[in-house]
Amino acid sequence: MKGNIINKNAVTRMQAILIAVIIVIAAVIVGAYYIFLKPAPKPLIAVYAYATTDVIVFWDPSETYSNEVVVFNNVYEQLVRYDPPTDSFVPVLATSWSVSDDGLVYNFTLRKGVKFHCGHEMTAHSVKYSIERNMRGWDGQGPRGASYIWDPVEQINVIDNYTVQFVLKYPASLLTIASAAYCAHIYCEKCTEQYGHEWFYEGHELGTGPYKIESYDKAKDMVVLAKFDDYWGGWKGKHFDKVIIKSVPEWSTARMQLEAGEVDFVDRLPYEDIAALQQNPKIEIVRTPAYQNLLGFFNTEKYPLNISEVRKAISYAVPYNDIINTVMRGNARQSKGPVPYGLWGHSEDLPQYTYNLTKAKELLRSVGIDPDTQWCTLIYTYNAGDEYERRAGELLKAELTKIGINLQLQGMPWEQQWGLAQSPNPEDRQDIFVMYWWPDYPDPYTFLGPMFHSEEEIVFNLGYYDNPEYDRLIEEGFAIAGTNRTRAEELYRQAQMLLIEDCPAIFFFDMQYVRPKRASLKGYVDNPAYAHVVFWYNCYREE
Amino acid sequence: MDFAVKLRYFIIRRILLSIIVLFGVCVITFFIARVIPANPAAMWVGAHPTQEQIERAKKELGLDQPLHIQFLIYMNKLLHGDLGVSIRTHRPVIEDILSYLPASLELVGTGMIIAVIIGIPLGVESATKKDSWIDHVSRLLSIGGVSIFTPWLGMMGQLLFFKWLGLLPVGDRISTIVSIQYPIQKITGFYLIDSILSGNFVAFQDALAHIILPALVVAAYPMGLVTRMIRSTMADVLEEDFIRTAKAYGIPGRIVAYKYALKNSLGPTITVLALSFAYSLVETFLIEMVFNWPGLGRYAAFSIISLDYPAIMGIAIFIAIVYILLNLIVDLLQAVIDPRVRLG
Amino acid sequence: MKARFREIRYSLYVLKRNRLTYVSSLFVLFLIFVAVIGPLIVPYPEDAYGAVHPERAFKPPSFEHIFGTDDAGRDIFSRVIIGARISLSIGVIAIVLTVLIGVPLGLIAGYMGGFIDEAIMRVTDMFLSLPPLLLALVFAAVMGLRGQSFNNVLVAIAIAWWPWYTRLVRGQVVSLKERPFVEAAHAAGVRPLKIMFRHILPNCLTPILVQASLDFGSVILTAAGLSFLGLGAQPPTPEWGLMLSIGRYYFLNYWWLATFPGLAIFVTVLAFNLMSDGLREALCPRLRRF
Repeated sequence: MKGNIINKNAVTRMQAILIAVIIVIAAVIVGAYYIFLKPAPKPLIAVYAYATTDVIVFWDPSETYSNEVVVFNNVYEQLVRYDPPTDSFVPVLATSWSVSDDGLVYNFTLRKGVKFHCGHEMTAHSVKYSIERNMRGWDGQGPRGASYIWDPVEQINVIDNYTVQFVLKYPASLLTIASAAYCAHIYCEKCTEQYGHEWFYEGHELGTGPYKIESYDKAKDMVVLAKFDDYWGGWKGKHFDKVIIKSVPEWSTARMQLEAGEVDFVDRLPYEDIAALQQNPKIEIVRTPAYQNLLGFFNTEKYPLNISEVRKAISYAVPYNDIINTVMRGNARQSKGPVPYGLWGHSEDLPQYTYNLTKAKELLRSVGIDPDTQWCTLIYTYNAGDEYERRAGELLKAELTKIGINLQLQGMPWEQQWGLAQSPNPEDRQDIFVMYWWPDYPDPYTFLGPMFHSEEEIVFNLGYYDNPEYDRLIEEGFAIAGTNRTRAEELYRQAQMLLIEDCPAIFFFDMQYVRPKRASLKGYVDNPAYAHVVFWYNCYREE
Repeated sequence: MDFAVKLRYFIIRRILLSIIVLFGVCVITFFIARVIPANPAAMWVGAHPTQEQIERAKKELGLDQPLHIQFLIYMNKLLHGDLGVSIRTHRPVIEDILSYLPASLELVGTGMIIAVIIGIPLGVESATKKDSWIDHVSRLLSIGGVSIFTPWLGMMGQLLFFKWLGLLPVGDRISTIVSIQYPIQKITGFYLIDSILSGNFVAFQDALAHIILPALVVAAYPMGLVTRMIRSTMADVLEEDFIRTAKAYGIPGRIVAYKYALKNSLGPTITVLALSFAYSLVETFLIEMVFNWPGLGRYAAFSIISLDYPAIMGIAIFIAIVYILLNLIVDLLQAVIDPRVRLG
Repeated sequence: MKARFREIRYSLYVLKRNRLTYVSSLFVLFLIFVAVIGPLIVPYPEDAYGAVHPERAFKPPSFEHIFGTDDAGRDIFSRVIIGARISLSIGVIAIVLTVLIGVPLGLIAGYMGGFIDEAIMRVTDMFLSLPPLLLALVFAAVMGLRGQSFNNVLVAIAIAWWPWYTRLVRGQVVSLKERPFVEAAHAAGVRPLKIMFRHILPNCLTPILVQASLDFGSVILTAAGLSFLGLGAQPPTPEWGLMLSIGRYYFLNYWWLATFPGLAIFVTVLAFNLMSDGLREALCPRLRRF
């Protein structure tokens, strides 16, 4: 009948479209699968998946202080490098050195025939120029980034083309400073003078290192390094021609790429993934004690944490073993004071607090607090997104409930967390501030000083600790570290005893770096003095 | 002609209003992002800044000036096209936005296309066969689409297609090795188009494999919208007299549905889609985070969380401009196409 | 009064008519019921608020733990159920706040007209030209400087969503303004405020309520989005968005941490949306979301 309006065809047009769409999607999926079956050819390119955003933040070597350290330590070089296993300094751009008896004059003999990537040769003038520029800042307004480390230097003198002399204002361990991961790199004075600060930010570099920056793709957040043919170390033996350093903030992506062989090295993955990767014969896990630890600062200016018995009680209530075993999966050890294991200045014979609720309750009762009632609320601030800090906080919370403290967890972005800690009124601030610390250069003072030396303006002494005796001990230690290491260690030890006694912070744990990499990547040694840096010159691939 | 005059008046009025609105957006975002500072100077310096460095950074960033002066300086720069420098990335904000824009456009565009391909036929079917089983299914799907928590859908997709089936990658836009060995020539900035245009089929397959899952997740919400809009507007239109007349004349139902009814329903649907497109450029940040997609949304989320105020303001102004422009264009088109729309 | 009663009965009738709407309405009631009695029926109520059992961490779904356990050994099923109250209360309070801001503004704009109307609508336009999620995110981030909590999320959502209601109400008011009963009241000397709230508002109630129920689902999604980014509820609160965000770190190895909270969100939002959509179909078909 003509009135039959809706035409009921066997296959209506809409259905046909839907089927076509499904077929197309299926075809694409199958096609994609085949792409993954295709064996990836193995050029001599290594890939490093870096768990951060923004691979390079600061391009000017006089102000580096961020993620680019991973790139720059392959592109630029220092006078010396620090080798933790032997606790000594390895010659890089300087071949030998001497120190005067009073520790105020250092003479360095420089390596000859070192070329910058621009073609010019490195001389003592380059060293003097680089360090002075770091000290006065590229705009002459004062040190930027980590270059404050050069503060002890009074003057730099060029003795001859390959000898440079540092005269210090006060004794300090200049070798340590010269080996720093940031702001201790030597760069070409002629080109810097000619092109200036902005030129660096256009994507240029002036290093002496084995690799040059071939390209930087901002959108993909990826740096491609290519071998510098005139590198003073030469290219005998097995090396990579190119290295790609890529930002991969998502660990699931990084892990996938590692397992697929697309990536050779990932700087960190969650411990659960590490446990799973342990079974994979193509993946190797490298563990090294890190110079990194986790601390929880007590707000010593606010009730109740201004009472030392309360702080000690809380330190006795921390479930150290649970945290280390469950949260860190054994990849950490309980701290002995704030200087981490593996760094000189760490003392194995320092006492530790252990998990002991009885003792905690005793201490509270000794100052008139009844731990069997809920007597206060404390705010625990940590870096939002950091699973270790969060989980440690939750375990701590459960324990503190047993001694009558209600712990409130607050995850915040670092800037907010820090901003809160700097509020003028101590009552507005948090009670427990949790953060990691790692050094700018491998010296215990970078742990003992910034975090516990009394401050007029709050920067990193986030327990607001103020002890003149302590200040004196570490200042002395710092001055003498360059010439009398043993004496410095003794002074630092005494200082740490004070910290453990006064308890301005919870010393949770010293971490390990746990690096997953392809088993075929050889030559990699983790140097905690250069956090997350892979020295690619030493690496090669072997199936 | 009266119509042309009215049109001109309409355009001028809308543009003026849009400018006022845009200015208001600037004021609002400026005061939100700056009134309660979280020490952006420290963020600018780096990892472990000292007090003097922070003080110096404050001067450099102009943070020591009174608020209204800062605002004036900002507005002045804005008029010269300078959106300031991101505190987090140390790059000009406009550069950041432009570098992440193509990725977002590609993702949202692909998602919208999928949404339309699925949504229109679905909407039409359910409008023409009201209250049948397909109507119920489409209603479930469309409301389901707007009810789903997109990051969750993304994660489930990753679980299924990456972890359990091993068919699709877990994230990113393209695999590293492919991007080095078969680099995509930059013509439009869209990987799918550029790889085809330059005959780079390896890269095309790779890019496609990477975009499917996130695009499907992005498509969920607009698909729901489209289906609903088509269904309800078509259902209305199908009641109209002229449709009944056409049917009485014996014009087959299929033609009636598509030619006449659909055409009328497309108008409001396109409006809705265009506006949701503007929103989606940023609202997909949850999806971008889950898939590590280097787009504007992810950049926006990171900027907001780290209180990178120049970036926040830059993004807000950018999106507002896009939204207002799209709004304007859509209104104008409607005014031109459909004279019934009041121009006053 | 009688008219109000009739309206309610009509709404209930509408809910029953369409099968899908009916089922989803029942489900909504069920959800509310579960949310209310939650802590009484779950197997491990203490897990929702601070108890930890590290030795039981990451256990897959089993008879003892239907949804498995999370990173601190807590029962996920208990946490999801108790989390229902949090999500539902966020939805209710946020919408109430939004309405409290948006509706009066719309009333004033529509009734007063002229410059006030223009001014209010321009400000509304300013807020409307930014995606609501973005706005909520910015406000939540900024307000969270002293620490995050629910309250930030609630206020952030209200600040981001009020413009829709202002626009909606204004439109209603403008058309109602001309009606005889309003003119009569005006002539009788009733003060404008009274006219707005006692005469005009009751007649706008239906679209406001329908819009609010339509928005309920979206508010829950927005709140989940904020928690997902770390703004809002703090651990160990069993809020679904927060559970999902934490689950993301582990779900490729332990799928149950993320699947169930997300499913809960989906099911809840779907039910509310289906129900309110059915309401809308019958009561105010003219209402459009965008």
